[in-house]
Amino acid sequence: MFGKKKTKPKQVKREIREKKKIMLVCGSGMVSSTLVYPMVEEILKEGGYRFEIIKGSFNDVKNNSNIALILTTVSPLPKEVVETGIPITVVTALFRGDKEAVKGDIFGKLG
Amino acid sequence: MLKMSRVSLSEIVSPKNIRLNKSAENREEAIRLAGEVLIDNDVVENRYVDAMVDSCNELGPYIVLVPGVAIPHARPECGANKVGISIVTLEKPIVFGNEENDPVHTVIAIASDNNENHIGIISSLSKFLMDSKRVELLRVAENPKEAIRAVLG
Repeated sequence: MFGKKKTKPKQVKREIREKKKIMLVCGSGMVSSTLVYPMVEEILKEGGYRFEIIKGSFNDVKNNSNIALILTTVSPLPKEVVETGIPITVVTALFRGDKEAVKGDIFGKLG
Repeated sequence: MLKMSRVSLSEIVSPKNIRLNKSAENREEAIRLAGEVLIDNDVVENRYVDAMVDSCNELGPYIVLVPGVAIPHARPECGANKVGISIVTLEKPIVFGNEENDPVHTVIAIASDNNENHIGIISSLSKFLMDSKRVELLRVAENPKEAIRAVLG
């Protein structure tokens, strides 16, 4: 046993993509964001992103930094949210089953 | 997040939270009709209904999530005592101001006493909302039994 070096299995190196912070906002942070959450999660997984979804209301936007994208069910958005300059995707088309349109927009904005 | 979040839609939908073919003149009246049912069932306090109306006035009619169906709601701290739902169909559809999904023939008000407890009902509600045939069945329902069958599928 002694002297015999145990080598740890080498970890496979993967290209690590930057983790994207996604803010999912609706009026109250209660209902419509909860409704679309699983659909949005599915799209982000399909895009192969590393991501974190934060659910909330508009007021929560200013309490978070480094937000890569705002997903929302509210349109038009309050001015103060638009003025943050953070990219925004309106996801209401998901309720109509139009996943592709939303997906295209999200992928385009996240890069 | 454990026990309560598993409250399912089927557990809380019953004839006492359904009102069919009610008449309302405008958006606010329609929201208040659904709110009254929540009050009658001790789900919310009066101020919760005001908060639902205010929220719709402030943020616009985004609560009309799918064609014909509005889902008014407010934050738990606005006077929600527990998880609850009310379903009101309107005799005459009302314009809420949502170009895509107007007019509204059904108002489903939701309340939850915290950020988690309503998640179970939302996921079953999602299946209902995305199924336009079931939405249509609810619109034409003539009694609570038919309405429940439409909502639960």
